[in-house]
Amino acid sequence: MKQAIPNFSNKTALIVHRADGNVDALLSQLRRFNIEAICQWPPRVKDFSPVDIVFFDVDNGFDGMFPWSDAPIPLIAIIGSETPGRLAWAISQNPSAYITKPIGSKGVFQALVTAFHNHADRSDLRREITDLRERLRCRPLVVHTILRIMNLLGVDDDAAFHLLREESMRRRVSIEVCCQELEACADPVLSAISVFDRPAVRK
Amino acid sequence: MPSRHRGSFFWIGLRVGKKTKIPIGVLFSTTGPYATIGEAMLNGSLLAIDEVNGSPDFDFELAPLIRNPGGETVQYGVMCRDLILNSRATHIVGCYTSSSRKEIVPVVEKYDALLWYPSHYEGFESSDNVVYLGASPNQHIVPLAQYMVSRVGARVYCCGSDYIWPWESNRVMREIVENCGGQILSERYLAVGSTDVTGLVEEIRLLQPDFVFNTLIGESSYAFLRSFCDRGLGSQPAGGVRIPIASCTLSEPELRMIGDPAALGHITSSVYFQSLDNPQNKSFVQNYRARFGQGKVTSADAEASYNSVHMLALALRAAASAAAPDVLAVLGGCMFDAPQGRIRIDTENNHCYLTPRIGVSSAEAEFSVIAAAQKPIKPDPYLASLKGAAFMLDATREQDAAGRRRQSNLRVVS
Repeated sequence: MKQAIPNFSNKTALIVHRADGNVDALLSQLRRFNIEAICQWPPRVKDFSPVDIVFFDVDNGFDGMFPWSDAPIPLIAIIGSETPGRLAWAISQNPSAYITKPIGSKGVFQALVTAFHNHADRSDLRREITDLRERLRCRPLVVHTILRIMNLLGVDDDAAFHLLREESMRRRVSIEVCCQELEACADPVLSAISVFDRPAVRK
Repeated sequence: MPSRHRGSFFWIGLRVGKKTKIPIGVLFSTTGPYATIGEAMLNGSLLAIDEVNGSPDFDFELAPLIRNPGGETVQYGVMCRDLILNSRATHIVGCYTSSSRKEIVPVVEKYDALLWYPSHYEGFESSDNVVYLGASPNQHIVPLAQYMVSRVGARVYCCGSDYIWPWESNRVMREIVENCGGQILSERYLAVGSTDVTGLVEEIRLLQPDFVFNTLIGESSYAFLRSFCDRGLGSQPAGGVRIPIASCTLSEPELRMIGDPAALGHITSSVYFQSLDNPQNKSFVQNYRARFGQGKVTSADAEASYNSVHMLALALRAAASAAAPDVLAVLGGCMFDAPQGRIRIDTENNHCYLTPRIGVSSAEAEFSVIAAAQKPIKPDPYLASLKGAAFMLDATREQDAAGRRRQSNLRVVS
């Protein structure tokens, strides 16, 4: 079930910004959402594992400020100056949301909701791309396996793919992994494919 | 703008006789689509202003500048700006709908004035230039959902007027109901002001929910309750089907408008009912009737407006200044024995500690309290503590310990 009401209770935020009125306003907003926050400038944290979200100052930010290229947690950029150079640097950090100074009573909650959503979305997409790339890499192997099934059973490519797909679902793996497993068995391939034992699929 | 001479008893205003007059904007729609409620809110404010002005405890008088935006959202911003700039009012008591409040918030923030907002609302806002005297969602929607789901059932039909308050209220209801293993059977909206309720009533008759969550407002709600009763679906029908209707809005003046028997047996979640049995409320109801007519009934909206003015007066006295930052600085220390019980402001979010209650409507346009919190509850406008409640324990079941979305065991290969 999807959660209808965003909830940030007991999360920890790191605010990478000089302590000032903006940070005070941010801290007071975060308290209202039950978020614990610490403010640091310059950033000294080495271990980010207790941190769930980072707010960072774009005006004074610098390359190498964070120990990652792809942030494992959502980042929210605090924009002051809207100069092209500062905006380019902000974008290079891949933040999941932005807020603008002066920080007031509006905008922090929406930035949190947006940031957590975008970060999860981006992570899902990245996982999916990695998965698809791996499957693309295996394409020659799939073609090879289908050709072998066609030769061994005397069936056409559609029937061979259908058999392969059924076997993959039975094993609860992707077609590519199934092919890897079948090829690892080398000869005899047929005996490794349980669905081929069923008389109904023999042609 | 008033200067900020803390402790110097410096007042901006007109000195008449012994007492300084402090201009207070009073901004309620006493005409237009929600005029009944606007009038109750204006009355509550005016009664409190009379009491403050007649009390020897205050060395100032509140001078009300009454404006009627007539339910037109844009007028709220225009009138608020005029009150601040041309009438030198730093404090505005007013607004019922969220859209009117959203119109005013940028104005009071710009000029560092304070809006004293006396209505319950959907939450998810916390301006430093607004003092919220009405119930937050954790003080009315959440207790209602908990009460109904635990006592009545979890197959729920939601109907409301088509705007932000019903949308967000239904979202909270859905979250709680579904986390209890219940089901929202249907979620229907009518345009504000529409009385075309036949479809709603017919669908409810067919679906037979455990209860109806009604967020219709004004005329739509009255038409719905009357039609519901006519079809024999009311809470106390003779030989009819017993489907309770629960809401966070139905108030005493509205019960009177709807009339019996359609007004009988409805469940409302509110921090105030006219029937509360305590000396402060008795005197509030008595004074309200003496001032506005014996036929008048008090309501949560009237009480919150009354409380707003009293809290404002207490804060003005403690701050000895009318400037918003000075008033806010002392607000946390102000307590008022309101008709609903003692109230105070939570300075963490400028919302009010209030006592949730559940009432059921009975004859003579009254509610009988059937459940109540033991003490005033801390306001939680962002429902940040909702996760900690018992019914929310299952909310994260689709995530593993690291917060990742769990993959389904069944794999469909493509």
